Amino acid sequence: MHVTDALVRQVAKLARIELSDAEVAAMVPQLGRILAYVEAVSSIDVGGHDPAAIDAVPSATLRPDVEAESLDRARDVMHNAPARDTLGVFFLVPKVLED
Amino acid sequence: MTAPLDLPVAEMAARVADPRDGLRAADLVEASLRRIAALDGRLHAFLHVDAEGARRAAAELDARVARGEAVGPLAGVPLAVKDNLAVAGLPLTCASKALGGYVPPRDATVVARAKAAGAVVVGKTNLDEFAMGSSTENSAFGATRNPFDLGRVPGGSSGGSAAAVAAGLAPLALGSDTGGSIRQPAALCGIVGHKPTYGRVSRNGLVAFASSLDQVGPFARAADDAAILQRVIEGPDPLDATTRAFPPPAGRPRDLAGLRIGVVEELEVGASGDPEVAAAVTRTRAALVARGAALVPLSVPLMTAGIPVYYVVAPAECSSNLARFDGVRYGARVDAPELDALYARSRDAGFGPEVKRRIVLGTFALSAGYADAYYKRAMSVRGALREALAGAFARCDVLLSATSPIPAFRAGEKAGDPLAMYLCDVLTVTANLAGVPATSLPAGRTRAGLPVGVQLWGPDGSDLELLALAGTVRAATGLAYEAPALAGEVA
Repeated sequence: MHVTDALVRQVAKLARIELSDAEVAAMVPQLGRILAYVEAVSSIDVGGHDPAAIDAVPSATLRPDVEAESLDRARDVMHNAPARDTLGVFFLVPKVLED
Repeated sequence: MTAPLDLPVAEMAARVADPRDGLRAADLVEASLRRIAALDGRLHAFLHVDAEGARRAAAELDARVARGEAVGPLAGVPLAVKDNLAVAGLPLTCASKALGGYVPPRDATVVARAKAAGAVVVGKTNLDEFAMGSSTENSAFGATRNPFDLGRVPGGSSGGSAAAVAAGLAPLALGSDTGGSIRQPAALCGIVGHKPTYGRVSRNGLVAFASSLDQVGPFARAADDAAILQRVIEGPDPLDATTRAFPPPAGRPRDLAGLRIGVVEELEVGASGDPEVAAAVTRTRAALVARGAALVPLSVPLMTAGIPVYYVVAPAECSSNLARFDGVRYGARVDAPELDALYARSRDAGFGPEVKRRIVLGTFALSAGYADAYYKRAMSVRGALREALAGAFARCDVLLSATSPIPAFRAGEKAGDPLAMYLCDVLTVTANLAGVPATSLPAGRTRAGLPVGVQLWGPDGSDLELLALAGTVRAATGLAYEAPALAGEVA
């Protein structure tokens, strides 16, 4: 896998990280080396295992579906918000809908 | 005379629980805070020390004892908590700028259970940012140092917890292990660390890194102490759907006579490792063989795929889990005129270089056109590896290997080479990929005085047997935790 500036920028865009030019320049050779190493996964003989059939994580245990108390928004949640409305109940973000 | 804080945990807790005994939780907490004040300026094991909260909790516990109430198996025992686990009311940073001033409203399940058992949280310990690293140098708040040599790393990512216990600042600590993050620092700091079976311990309140690999587990100076904490924190939790019940250990602890110890060729310390580590493993095995254990040579060729598989699967899951840090509901935020730019700038400013590297690597491994070749392929190898390891346990009772191929390395030595850092996990990641438990325990020191650890691996669910066996191994080898010289500076 040949890692280029364009590939790193494209992937960073998918990951919603705005990398600086210097960060991209540093990451290109690093990712190149890491990918060259992990590419070994494609040449390992796994004896016909079907990835879809693998129980990589033991199946989840479901709990009874009963009503329970949730966090108190004003008391427990909003104090951690970087920006909130004057009532202290809504998270603020830049406008996403046109007028 | 042994300082109360250096007693075995069972004895410490029993004395605190006994109203006729003069030892109080407050004494243990003051001793812990005194040691932290004296030594942590050099170690930087803690990111946050909660002296006030610890004193209050200790006073409450002592009052309960005075009233004749029953208290739990960790009564008054100071506990250090890795700072990727939520403690209600204390800042939770993950050693990242991305969390901003986040303060969780609730305790992680493991923290709640430890508190209910009488443990007193003294503070939050340093880690590699979001638990990504093997040296505790990738912390946005500065590196932790090894108590045996302040010029060296304590290992990682739970390096703060390991250094705190090794230096005697707290007798117990909680860590998390995704690819070796409990066992490798335990080895490099000369203490015991246990990575439980996947599904044995709740991750509710643990900041997720790679959810199919993450487990929370104990650090202690001795296996008996670690087992007490393990028993307290384990068990099904409705708030983590991956947790399940495991049957209690059957019968008496395993005797060494007749114990079949698997020696996996692919887990041997090779030419790139340290000969003194290899010699420590050989000495440990010889001591066990002298008491009737048998070595079973094995080959599990897929073990060599551990690092490549891990560094596809873990970054893929991390890229998904860390999507929640977007500067909107909590954490650090960089304002921008548009929402997408707000996300992208907040994430660039919040995450450190290793975290960004893994998010980009994981996003790539999951992206259209590459997911089949990387992620799906890696999961397929992982499934085959699990089967191969299960096959190995059909022929032996436990595996015994080194924990880390090298002892503590110099601070900065691997900081500029991500791949070299990843290779620190070469002997630990396969336990996470397969979900099996593994315990690292002390196996002596190098000529330079650096601790060496060995690792016992067991089949699914054998956690308590492994911890009991670690105690038996200690008795057989005579190799136990030894305090670093620096710990002698303070009572």
